[in-house]
Parts: sequence; C-alpha cells; structure tokens
Amino acid sequence: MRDADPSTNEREFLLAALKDGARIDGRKFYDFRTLRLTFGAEYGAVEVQLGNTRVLAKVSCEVIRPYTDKPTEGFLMFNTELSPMASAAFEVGRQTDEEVLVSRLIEKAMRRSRALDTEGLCIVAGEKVWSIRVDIHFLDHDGNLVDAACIAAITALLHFRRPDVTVVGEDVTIHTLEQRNPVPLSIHHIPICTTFAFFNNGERMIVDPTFLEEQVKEGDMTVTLNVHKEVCALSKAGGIPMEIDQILQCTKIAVVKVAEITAQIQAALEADAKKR
Amino acid sequence: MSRLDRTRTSAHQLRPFFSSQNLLNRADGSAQFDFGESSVMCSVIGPAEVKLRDEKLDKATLEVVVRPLVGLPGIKDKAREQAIRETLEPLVLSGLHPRTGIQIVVQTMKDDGSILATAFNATILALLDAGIPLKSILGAVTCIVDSETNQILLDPTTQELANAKSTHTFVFDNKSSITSSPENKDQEEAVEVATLYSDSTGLFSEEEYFECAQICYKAVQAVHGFIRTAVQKKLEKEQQQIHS
Amino acid sequence: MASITTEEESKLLIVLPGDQLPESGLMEDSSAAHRLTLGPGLAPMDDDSITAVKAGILKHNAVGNRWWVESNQRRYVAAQGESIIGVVTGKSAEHYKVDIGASQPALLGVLAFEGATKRNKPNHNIGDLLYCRVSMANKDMEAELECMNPTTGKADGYGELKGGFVIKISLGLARRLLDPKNLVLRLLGQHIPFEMAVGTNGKVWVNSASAQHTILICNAIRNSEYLNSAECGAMVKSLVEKM
Repeated sequence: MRDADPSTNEREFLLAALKDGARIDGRKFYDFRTLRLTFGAEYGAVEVQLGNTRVLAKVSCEVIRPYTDKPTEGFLMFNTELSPMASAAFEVGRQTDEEVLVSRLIEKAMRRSRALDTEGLCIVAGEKVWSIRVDIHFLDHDGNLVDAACIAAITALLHFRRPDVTVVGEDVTIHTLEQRNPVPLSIHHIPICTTFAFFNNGERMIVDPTFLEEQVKEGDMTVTLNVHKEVCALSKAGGIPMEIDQILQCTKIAVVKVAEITAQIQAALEADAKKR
Repeated sequence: MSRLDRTRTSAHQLRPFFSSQNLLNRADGSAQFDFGESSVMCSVIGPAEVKLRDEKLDKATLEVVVRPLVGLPGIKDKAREQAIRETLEPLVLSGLHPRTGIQIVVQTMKDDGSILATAFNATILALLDAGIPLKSILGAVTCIVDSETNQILLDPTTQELANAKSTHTFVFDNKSSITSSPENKDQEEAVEVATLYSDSTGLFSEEEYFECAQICYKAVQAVHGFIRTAVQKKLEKEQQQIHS
Repeated sequence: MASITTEEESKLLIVLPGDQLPESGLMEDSSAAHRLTLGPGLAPMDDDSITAVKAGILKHNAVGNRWWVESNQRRYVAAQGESIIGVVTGKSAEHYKVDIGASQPALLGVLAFEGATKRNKPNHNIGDLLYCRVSMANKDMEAELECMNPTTGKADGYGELKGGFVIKISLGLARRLLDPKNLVLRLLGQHIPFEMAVGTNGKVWVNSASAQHTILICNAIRNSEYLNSAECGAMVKSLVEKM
C-alpha cells in the first residue's frame, strides 16, 4: 500500500511557511526534534524517539569462525529491514528503494567508518572471533529514519557488554554475566548522521525533516561526522544539484549538531550506568 | 519459595503488568504490553486497502506479522503468526468490513520469557485501540512445570523456562454480562469462558495439564481486569473535558 | 464488571467487547414501545444477546430507546450523511476519486456540485482538498460523495478548501471539535480569528491570516486531546504568549 501523497494545500502551505521562516512543528531550520533515549534492562538495547519517529536497536553477539583471509577480524552485521509497523508502505519481504538507501547509509556510516574495532573481537586467531549483530527495528516513521537509526545503532553498541572470555592454550572459556563482569566493545569514534532536506530550488535547507517535509522536499543529503570533525560518510542520492559552498555549509551545521547529539548520548549512557 | 527472578515470592504470582495504548503515530492502533522484563509492541492498521489477491468478498483479511528481537523472522515466528491469526479470526467481526485488510504487526521489544502470552495481550490492546469490532477480549498467560520440583510456575522468565519440563500457554476470552441489578449477581458466576488457544510442549500428564489450565484460568482474570482498567483510564482521559 | 444504574449518568459506564447488555436493562426506559435502536459499537450476537463490540462508553437516548457505544479510533469507516474532508487522487469522465482515509477511495460524481451541468461543471485537480458529504455508504461498496445539500441543491459550504493547512486527528477528537461548546476552539477564537472545517474522518482544515497562526491553531487542537479544561486553558495561553 503506497503512502498517500499530501494534498496541494499541505504542500503549498509548507513551502510558503518555509519561505516565511517557519516550520510546521514550530522548529527552527537547523533544529533536530526532541531526542529521547530509553535503555532496557539488558545491555545493548535502546529505544530512540526523534519526535514521532521511533527506532529500537538491539545488539547481540555470538562466537563464530573467522574468514581464512582475515583470521583476526571479528564481524559486525546490521539488520535494517523496514518493518510494516513503521508504515503500511513497507511490505514484508519486499525491499523498497528507501530500505536499500537506509541500510546502505547505516553500513557506510557505522561499518566502513571503522567505528568499531573489529580486530578487538578476535578470541583465537583463525579459530574463534566474536560476531556482533545489530538489529534495528523501525517502529514509527515520521521522517528521517536514517539519523534515528544511526543514533540507535551507535548508542546500542556503546551500551552493549559482551561476555568475558579466558583463553588458556586452545581452551576458551566464555564466562556468564554472573561469573564475571561483561566487557564493553572497543569503539574508536561515534559517527552521527545529520540529514538535510532542500526546498525552493535548494535555497532553503532544513535539518531532520519530518515525513511531510520528506514528501515535499526537492532533494536531500546526509552528512556523517564524529566529534573530531572527521567526515565519515556523505550521501546525496539524487535530488536537485547543489553548489559546493552549500555542501560545506551543511557540514559546518552538522559539526554543531553532532556535538550536541554526542553529548546527549553520553549523558544518557552515564545516567544509565549510575542506575545499574 | 522465592522465584528465580527474586522479585516474586509465590509460584502462582504474575510479574508486574504494564501497558500503554496509542503510542505510534502512523498506525491506526497500537499498544505495548509488559510482563516484568518481557515487552511486546503491537500495531494495527485497518480496516484498510488490501492486495487484490488477498481480498475476501465477504469479510476482512487478517494479516499477522511477527518480528523477532534478534535476527530474521524464522519458523518460530511464522508459527506465532499463525497462532495469533487463527486465535483472532473467530474473535474479529470481519464480516463488518468486507474486502478490506487488517494488518497486525507484533514486535518483541524485550525478551524475558512468556513472549507469546505477552504478544497476545499486546495484540488485544492494540485492536481495542484501533477500534476493530471484536466479539470479546482475550487474556493470555504462560506457565511451566519445573523439572526439578514438579511445581507449576506462572509467567516464567527465560531462566525459569530453561528448567521447564513442560510449557503451557493459554488464551481465554472474556464474555461477561452486565447485570442490571445487584440481585442478579449469581448470573455473573455463570459467565461462559472459552479457551481460545492452548499450546503445550514437553512431557506432562493429563493431570498436570488440567491443573495448569486451572491456574492459568485464574491468573487470566487478573489480566482481563488489567486490560479493562487500562482501557477505562484512557477513555476517562479522553472524556474529561466533556464531563468536567 | 459494570452494572447499569438507573440514576443519572454520574459515572461513565465503560464497556469492552464481549460485555453483554441484559434485555431487562435495555427495555427499562421505554417499556411501552418495545423497540430498540442499536448504534455503533453494539451488535446482536448469534445467541440473541446484545453485546458491545468496541471499547467505549455506553450511551443511551430515551428518544427511540437508542443505545450506542461512544468510542475513539483513527481509521475512518464511511457513514451516510457525515461531512468529511478528502483529497482528490484521480479523475475520470464521470467521477472524481477521493481519498477520505477509509479502506477505499470514495467516488464523487462530477455533477454532484451546486448548479453543475454537463456543459458547466467545476474542474478539480489531483491533490485538491474537498469538503464533502457522504451521500451513500455501504460496507460492500465504495462510498459516494457529494458537494451539495441534497434537499436544496445548494453548496451549503461544501466544495473545495483553498489555502490553509490540514491535520489528521483521531475521530473522537474530530467529533468533539464539532460540539459548538468545544473548549479549545472557543479559547483560540478569543485570540486569533480563523476559519476551519472539521471532517468526521479526522481531517481538520484550518486557515488564518498568517502561517504562524495556522500552525499554532493546529498544534493547539492536536495537544488538546488528552487535557482537562484547566490544562487546556494553560496550553492555549502559553502558545499564544510564545507568539
């Protein structure tokens, strides 16, 4: 079932309001919606609410045999299947273009930016490595699934603890959570996505578009950065052409947003750690 | 005797309930239901457009999608989908909405045992929230027979499930009559209760099965009561402007 | 379990699907005329009992001994005579296809407008917002719409809604907005002049002098759903002050 297109009135009102300097939900152009992070009792489970967009990320791990050509590298896998819970437009077992884009972006932002130290997941070279799996469940779609999913994935990885292991010769003992304190993953940096949407021939740009804004937009771009101002990924899949200056401006705005979000993630993690 | 989750003192005690309705903005109805640290979210869309090949001329088509917390949907999830769909089919008055589809998506949010029962309870709350016409509500509870003590434990956690000799999940409906006067109270006792779904795995005797059914039936009354209170609270909140 | 009380409706009587209404209670008020009218949310079952099929508040009107359940939901099911807001999604020689938020698009005859003739009929495009009346609704067929009052043939306010913005709310809130005594609308009206159309399908169209005002009104309406009178007053006040 396709999503219904917005009426002409909604489209024109939104564009006119943007020209006037206002967004439908009262935000400023470069504001994110309210971000809420909720942790479960288990390690590695986090629910992210970005306005009305809702995403759940769950990290799990298992011991597997590594590839022979990379005997010391562990695995990091993402499952980003779009659930029909988020929108009736997502069908089970049929990938939409949106789903491909979302999963590619998360893959690029998280795995290829080497946010997680996969070498650190090795238990016995060529024999046993940890495989870390991140399941991302989209619960409610009110735009900007990418940023919400990215925040959920990295927060869940930061929150996750894997069981401790002892290696004596060939013998590997995996300790249960009761026997020994589990250990956190080694994470090099925290990549955060910031998605921009463009309107009015690219003259007007906004951060964190809602579903209606996404339906009306002329183009979009996602910049992935970390707090060290390093660009991890940049994605602009179609839409209107843009000036180079504008891309630089987007990156500058993203630097500020990334610092804010990273601080919020860390504060939430600390608050949760205190409760345990 | 203290239970393995250390918060409960009795074998026939349920974990604390929690529920919340109408929390998703895109779905027509949604609810979350928790038994302690087990939590399931359910969304309902419908009566909505249905794919031509699924269209039924005289009634609505029910579709249930169960999504696991970890990994891709497997056989177990397909089995749960079937269990939920077949339990709901006689309950939903699908004849009122022919040639439409009702899609139910069940997502595990936290898994600490008794997920199927939690899913059933979340589903009924989501259906109520969506305003889908139903013949009755339902309530679900799981219990196990412990392999060491042979004791029946209600609403088991993951840890307790590992020690189970047999596991039983029961779903009961709740048809009740509203009495017009207090003298007719006996009528309430005569309320008919039907078992909508029963699933047992493991080795157990006939006696054990019926004992489990009895215990679960008693426990489901608490679930029904909880569902009623949850719905009541939501309605009162909606109506407070009119009646204040 | 609730019991029907003959006294005034001081307490809300909440029913859930499966709750049976006793025959004696139903007939009490109009024992002379043994007639009973069942509204939404109630249905006779196979065993001849009358049972609630939706969760809501049991309501009764002694005139005609009507019983129904006041419930809330978000998905619209078309009912004859209701005023709704729809979006044109397609057009053919004889009909417009209009999305009204129900399971299927509704049909609006191209001649179902005030003074429309084969030579002279209004032209609407895909994406236009229309305020219409449901002229025919049946569970087995697509709903039919009209943009005029069938008795007078006059537009009576029905027709295209130009400009403004539209929001989707629950059907229960939409019904409450139609109450002339509705609190949030009265409070907003004290501060901002605005125009609105409420569709029983949960779509609300709002137009005012500026975009900011329209946004404020939409937000206030959305926020009002779960607030009591005092909270509602405070909410509108804080929104207006922020402007």
